[in-house]
Amino acid sequence: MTAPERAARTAEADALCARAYTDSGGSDVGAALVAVGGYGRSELAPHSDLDVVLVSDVGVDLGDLAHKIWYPLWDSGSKIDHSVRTLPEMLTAAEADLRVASGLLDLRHLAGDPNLTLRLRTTMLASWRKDAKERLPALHEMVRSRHELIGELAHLSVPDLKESEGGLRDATVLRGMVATWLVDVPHVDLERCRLALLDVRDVVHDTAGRATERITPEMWADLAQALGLPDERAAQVHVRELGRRLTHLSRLAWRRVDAVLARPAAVGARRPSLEPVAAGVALSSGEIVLDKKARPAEDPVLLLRAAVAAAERDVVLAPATAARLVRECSALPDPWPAEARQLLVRLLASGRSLLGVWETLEETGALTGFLPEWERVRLLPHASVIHRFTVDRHVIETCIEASSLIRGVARPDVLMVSALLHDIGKGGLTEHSVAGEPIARTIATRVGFDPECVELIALLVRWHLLLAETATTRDPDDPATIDLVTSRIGSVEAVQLLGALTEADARATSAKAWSSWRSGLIRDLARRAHAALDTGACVPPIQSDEVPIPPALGVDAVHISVEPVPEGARVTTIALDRVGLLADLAAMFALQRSTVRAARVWAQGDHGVSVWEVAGADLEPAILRQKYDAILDGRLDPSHRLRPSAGAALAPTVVVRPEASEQATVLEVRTADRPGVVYLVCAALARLDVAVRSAHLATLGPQAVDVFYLQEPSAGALSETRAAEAAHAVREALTGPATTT
Amino acid sequence: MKLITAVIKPHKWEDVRVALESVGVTGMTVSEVSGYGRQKGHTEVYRGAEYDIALVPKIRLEVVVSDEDVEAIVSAIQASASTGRIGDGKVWVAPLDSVLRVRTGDRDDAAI
Repeated sequence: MTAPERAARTAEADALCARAYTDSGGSDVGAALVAVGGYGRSELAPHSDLDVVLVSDVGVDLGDLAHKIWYPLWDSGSKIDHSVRTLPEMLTAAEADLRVASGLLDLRHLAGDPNLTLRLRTTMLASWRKDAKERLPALHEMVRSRHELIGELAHLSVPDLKESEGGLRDATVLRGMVATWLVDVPHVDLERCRLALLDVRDVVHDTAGRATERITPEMWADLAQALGLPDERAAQVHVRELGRRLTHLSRLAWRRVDAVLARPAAVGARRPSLEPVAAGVALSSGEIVLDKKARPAEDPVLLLRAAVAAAERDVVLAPATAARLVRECSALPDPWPAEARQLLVRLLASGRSLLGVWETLEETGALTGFLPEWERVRLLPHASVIHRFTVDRHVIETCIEASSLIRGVARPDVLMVSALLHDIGKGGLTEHSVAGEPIARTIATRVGFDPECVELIALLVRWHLLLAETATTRDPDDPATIDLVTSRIGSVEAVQLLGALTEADARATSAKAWSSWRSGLIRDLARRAHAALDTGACVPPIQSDEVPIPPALGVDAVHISVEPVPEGARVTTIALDRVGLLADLAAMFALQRSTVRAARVWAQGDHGVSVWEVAGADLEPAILRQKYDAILDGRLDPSHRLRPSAGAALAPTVVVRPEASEQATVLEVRTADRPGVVYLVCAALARLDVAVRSAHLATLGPQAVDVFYLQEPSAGALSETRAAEAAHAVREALTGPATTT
Repeated sequence: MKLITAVIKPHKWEDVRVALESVGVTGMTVSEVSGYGRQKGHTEVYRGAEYDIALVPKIRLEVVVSDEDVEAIVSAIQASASTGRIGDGKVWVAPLDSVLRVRTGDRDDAAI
């Protein structure tokens, strides 16, 4: 089944139509028979209809010509879809209905007056171009609703070659978009995929013996044989890859259309504007590209940085940029540096926009570079009918679901990487969670997690089905059931992570897998396991080193020293302790645009000592001191410059942990990592006259996980009311102004 | 003819299915349901937050049987679904006027 066979079928049909027209006495002037749609493109499948229109000029009387033409066509056994219209009627019909307009873009002369066909074609195309800016949004809406209704060719269990996202209709729409001259797409790639899908459709028609576009499960073997592929799996991968590629091209083209339509009318010369968004990475016309400072050969993390910049802004990672980075970026070292690990986690936790960026990474071969194990699950169909998607897409959907659950776990980085790897063992004969455990361990080690986290990730992958299976098959009231869970998942932290992973996995599977009935059973089991393991002490203990205090440190003075450490600097500050000291220091770092990775704070006599781990090695103590002085003098107002933005995607969680310490009240804060988080928390506490005796700050991917030990200025833990007040104030400070509608 | 309806604990479903097969029941309707009986709903406190456990997940199964098989089937369900603890569930039997097998048009006992 190839293009020559389609051409032969088309030539045969053309001859039939031309003969019918001539035999019926059709004129060579003022009337013409034209082919539209797939027939117009000369792409007849074995059981396709012949879409033909008998078109006439205004004032030309066709008489009973139409009937004379259609009868021999019907008699030949062909299925014809026919109409009779004047040229103005055709233009009106095309203006009124996008589907008609789209079909007429491919019209082709069959018989009669060639000048009329040429005039119709030229007028049609000119009108299409002229009205493109008005018509494309409506076309996009039509395409979107079709995609929502049908699903994706790459992932449907019974794919529809024509109507699904990434199917033949999308390829035709893409050609129509190119015809507007507003956007362009990679033509070679588009044609390769389109022709290959047409080959598949020919086989499907032949196998089914009728005009169907749906590939039912039993057809895969015939498809493999006809296409010269080794087996059913290879046939599935072949078709789904074509669908995925077309989906990608289609999404890219629509993004470009949106950018063109959103762009204001150009005034004077238009220059590309580059807005820097990260080191070496810039935003240009809604796409992430490299800036002129980028040095791919010396910066192995650049690809991940560009991917995160695109995903977190919900914009396109320009495929050409990704392809260049794949070619030119040096390989990531083994293990990865901390920045690469953090970026991977942020990418995975970027929510729904992960999907497009991940597809670009896969399309360009970037994934094979940093996650070669991905090949195991790429386009792998699921064995169970409960799954909506192929394994790779399911994994990405799991990450998207997990990204909304990170506030509920202490280690969002572990959750996100476990979500990515939970099904990595699929595709073999061994039970996939068993097969996946060692693979996950290898990947997590390479990504640069410490051994404890590597084991936690391996544990989660190994037992990711434990809660769901146990909850529905074992008696939750039986102590042995809880023992079974706790013997495998030995800590509160791991149970929380497993609960979140189970929920994300089930939600990504299908609505049925996380029904209220099923989720109720699973949550109940997780709650019982949690209660059995919870010993109440899981916050880090207060660590206070003795540091030498510089003599004669004035009331408002601060001593700052900077020492370089791998991938950043360690800054130690010493000042006379006071309520609000930590807020001012945090503001100093935030206004200096230094990313705080971790910090420890403690009181040493009358002095407050803090040690900050920050990104960037080029920090000058003198400059930091100037910032600090400016904040203290009121020349810099951090409360204005560091105020939270409205409408954050995930609300922060602020929890008082009364059981954690007897000398202090422990406040645990989980919130989006952004400049000024520590300042906002400390300033809110200072306003309540609450002293921060110690703080443990950590950034885990997109989430800051900060623990503050609070005391009254006169020492001693906060009362229950004061602790609730403090938590409320912190929550309010982090949430920002309420959005109004 | 009778309709036997049983509401049981979810983890007991597999045991009940095996028991019913052993007494000759070859088909049934199974649903995932939620409800409460004498055990009532209750509230649990978990990490400082209250969780309302008003509705307890259960499995509901329905079997249509001939009158003479009722006792054996009810006994099989009771024996296999029991844990001796509160919340084990209920079984009830209701009379049926008529049964029709859609495919063949068979009626009543012939349709069971």
